[in-house]
Amino acid sequence: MNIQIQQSDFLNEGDNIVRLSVNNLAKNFTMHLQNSVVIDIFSNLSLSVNKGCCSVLVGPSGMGKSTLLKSLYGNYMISNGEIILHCDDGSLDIAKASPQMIYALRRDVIGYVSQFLRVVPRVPALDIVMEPLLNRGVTKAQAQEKAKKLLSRLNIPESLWSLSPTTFSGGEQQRINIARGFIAHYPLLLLDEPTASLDSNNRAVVIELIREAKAKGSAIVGIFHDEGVRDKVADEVINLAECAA
Amino acid sequence: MKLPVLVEQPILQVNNVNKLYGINRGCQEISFDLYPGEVLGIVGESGSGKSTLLKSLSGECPPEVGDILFKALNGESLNLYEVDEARRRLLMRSEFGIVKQNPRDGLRLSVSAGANIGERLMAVGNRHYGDIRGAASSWLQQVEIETERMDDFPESFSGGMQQRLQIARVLVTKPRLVLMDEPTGGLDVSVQARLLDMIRSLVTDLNLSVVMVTHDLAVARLLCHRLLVMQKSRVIESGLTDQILDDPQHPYTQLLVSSVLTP
Repeated sequence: MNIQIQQSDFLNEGDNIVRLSVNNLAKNFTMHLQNSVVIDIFSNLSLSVNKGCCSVLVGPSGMGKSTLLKSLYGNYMISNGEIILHCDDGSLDIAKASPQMIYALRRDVIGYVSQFLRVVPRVPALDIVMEPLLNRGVTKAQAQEKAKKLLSRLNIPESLWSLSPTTFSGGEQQRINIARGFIAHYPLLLLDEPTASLDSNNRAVVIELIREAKAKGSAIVGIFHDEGVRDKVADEVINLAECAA
Repeated sequence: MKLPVLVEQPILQVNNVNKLYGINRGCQEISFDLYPGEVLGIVGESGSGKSTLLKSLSGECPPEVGDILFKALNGESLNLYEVDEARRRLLMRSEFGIVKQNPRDGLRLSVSAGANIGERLMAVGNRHYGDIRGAASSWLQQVEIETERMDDFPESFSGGMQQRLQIARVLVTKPRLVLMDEPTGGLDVSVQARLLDMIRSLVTDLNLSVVMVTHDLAVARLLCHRLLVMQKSRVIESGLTDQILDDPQHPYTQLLVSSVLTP
């Protein structure tokens, strides 16, 4: 499997290194079952995200914020444009990457905390949180220890660790989702309303986790409706209405 | 942070395979690669050609056009239908595994459960009775069948147990490629759940490559990394499972996805 790797210079903005460049991105949905009506979400969208920074997407509901995150993750197929990931040794267009490359990126590079936890029944919460580390070859013992620490930090009681999140409350499910997203270091981290169902204590924990990730160099793209959280983590605010031509 | 580099070569390469029984009945123009550790789902309605494709992949049914290349353990690339019959049969016994939809088609009902597992080991050259029985016992445990049932006949097992026994029989020879045809079809939901969980762990623990035919999109989402969507003998869409199910492009895929009931 050959992936074209272009040697590019580091794109510098002062001391900052650009981790992600989105160029002229367009996304629409064609609903074939409804007379092939075409729903345009955004077009000509361009933005960039720096290493160690948190860029927050704002804009009214329906503007395409979650759609953009899902496109960056390879979950949605874009209609036009490019999503360039800049690494130390080359760049790659995520939108044109093979499925195998996307899996490798999701394992090692791009993390995603979705708005809702898709629960796989019968899998204990602890196992769900351990999985990203196990996929990277970390031993079960080490992964388990890290997972337990993180779940404790997120105030998930030990009695729940061996249970499947199917019966958890919305907030508890969200914290499992967050634990899974933050257990491993991701150079690019996508957060879709991570604090939506959380009380103020847990919101504070998430803010800390985001700060720690930034300090380790993660480039973060996030959606936060909660302005309090947004103000504490955002280095940049990107208004989708303004960057789409 | 460095770019991930993909070094693995495909374990299976399917190039332009055709096997037709009539106009658009069967499969045609099928091409794909399968990598080690990947689970590829083939979804589509009855009559779309899924089982025909699987039969060609398993060595049972030669295609009219195209070839199927399998990467053997020694690194050799073998053209499945150009190697001699004996070699192909050996491959089918040792490096391939085939799990049939109806476990009774994949088991030998006239021998005991333990023998069903053990005879596969004998077919690839094992002769030590104690070792064979030990392996059979250990596999029964892996598929959650009580080892006390080792000498019972599969007739006395429930459908779910028969299916699990079939899986043990298939996996005992440590195949690197497993082909499954609707492995949970016809089973009760709780039995199905248990089987899916088991398949899921076995795939990760043994780094299996799997091609799985299923019409159940929930099974596809749970187990498969990638999907091929078939309609009337052709692949009309392919890609990452979550992308196909969350952002289907083709009208037929959109129809399939919108038809799934969620309780």
